[in-house]
Amino acid sequence: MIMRRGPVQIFSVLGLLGVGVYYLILAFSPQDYTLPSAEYYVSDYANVLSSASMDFYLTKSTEVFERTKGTNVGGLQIVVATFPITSEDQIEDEYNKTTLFRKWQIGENDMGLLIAYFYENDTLGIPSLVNTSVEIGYRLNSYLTAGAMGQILDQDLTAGADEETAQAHVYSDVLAHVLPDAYGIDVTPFDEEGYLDYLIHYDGPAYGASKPLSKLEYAFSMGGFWDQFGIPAIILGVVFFGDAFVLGKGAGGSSGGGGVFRWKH
Amino acid sequence: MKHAIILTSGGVVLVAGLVFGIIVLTGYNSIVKADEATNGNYAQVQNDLKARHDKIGELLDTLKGQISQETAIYSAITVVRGSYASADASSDAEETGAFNTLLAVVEDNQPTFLSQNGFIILMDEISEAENKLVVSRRDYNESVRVYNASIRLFPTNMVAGMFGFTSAKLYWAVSQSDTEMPVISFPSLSSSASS
Repeated sequence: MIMRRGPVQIFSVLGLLGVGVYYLILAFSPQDYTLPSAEYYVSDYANVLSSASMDFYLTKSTEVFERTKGTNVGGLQIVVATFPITSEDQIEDEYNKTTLFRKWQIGENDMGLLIAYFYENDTLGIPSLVNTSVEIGYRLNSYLTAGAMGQILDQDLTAGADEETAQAHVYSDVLAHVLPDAYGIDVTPFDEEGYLDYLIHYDGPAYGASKPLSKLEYAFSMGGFWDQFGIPAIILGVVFFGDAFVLGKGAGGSSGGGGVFRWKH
Repeated sequence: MKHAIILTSGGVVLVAGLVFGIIVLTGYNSIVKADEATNGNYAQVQNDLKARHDKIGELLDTLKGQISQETAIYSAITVVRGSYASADASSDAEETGAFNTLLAVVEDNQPTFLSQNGFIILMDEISEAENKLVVSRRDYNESVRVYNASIRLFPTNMVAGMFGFTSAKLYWAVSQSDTEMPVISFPSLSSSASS
């Protein structure tokens, strides 16, 4: 008895083949740290942040964007990322902060901020902070100048019980500087004791080292692609790309080189 | 047979016309987009140049004001220190008087001088302004490259010719004045204090 294959069966086989090829490409494509992780608001590529800190940034940034999006000023998105480097040249060439910011499209109406920490292994192989670079979105720059951001870094990075606390302090002081002025939202000052207590007693989700999205995931992640093609593209993405349906791009923000950096030598 | 040939020819002409129309439409739109991008990026460079000029000027004025004020404090401390040093150590009243004057000058003026912070802020702002200019010039040159390529590459060059987009745009060249370091001068503390 001869079985005749109908068009539905052919499409099913082709679809499965497509999904197989997609995951094969995913498995063998090299990691590209210039792309955000699936968490988007925090990408710990240097593997230096605790789960507590990652959860802190993720929760805060999500909450801040939810509260500020759709306002006249535009939704504020703050992204924290750590990068492992082997040479200081990589900071300007490979991980140029303006290029990263534009690729990650941080902030609604250019109200975005990227705080990037660069780590290089010391002689014992322990990651050591060598540079902090901050890129400020076009519009956010009028609420947070380079001078003000530099002062926050100078005050907070050298203080604090440890590096993680100091970095959380930087993040909180940025919020305290921007939210009241731009949105009229009051912010309680950073409580170092409270944060240390939070780090010790944290029992939330555990995060490992961040993995960047693949190029395919990035291309099909939320952002430009979905905005352009709407609901049919979302359905297509969910059906064919499954986990690719993540936040891989921000609210379309851009920047033009505003911001500061600090070396730790 | 003749009917079929006419129908086929008509179809070919229709398809060719459709293809030509799509090429003209997309070509025209892409050239206009590239043209607008160069205009926008040119304006951004001008904007950054103006912002650099205004912002650095404002900061310099503020900083110079702080320095002048601090120079006056240094002078006052120098004078009082002189009178304290020359005071008769054996005379309690004279010694105490000179000491209190010195203390008053220092306390009143809060010797946490602002200009140190001001210099760091100025450095950050200058660094940012320069970085912004580098980025905006790079953006402009990139948009010029896209525009110039679009009016020379086939098939958009035909569309460019049809709608008058013929002249290539110039890249942002660094002029002689751009390569010169701006002169920033402050009142000298030592000369003012000693006078």
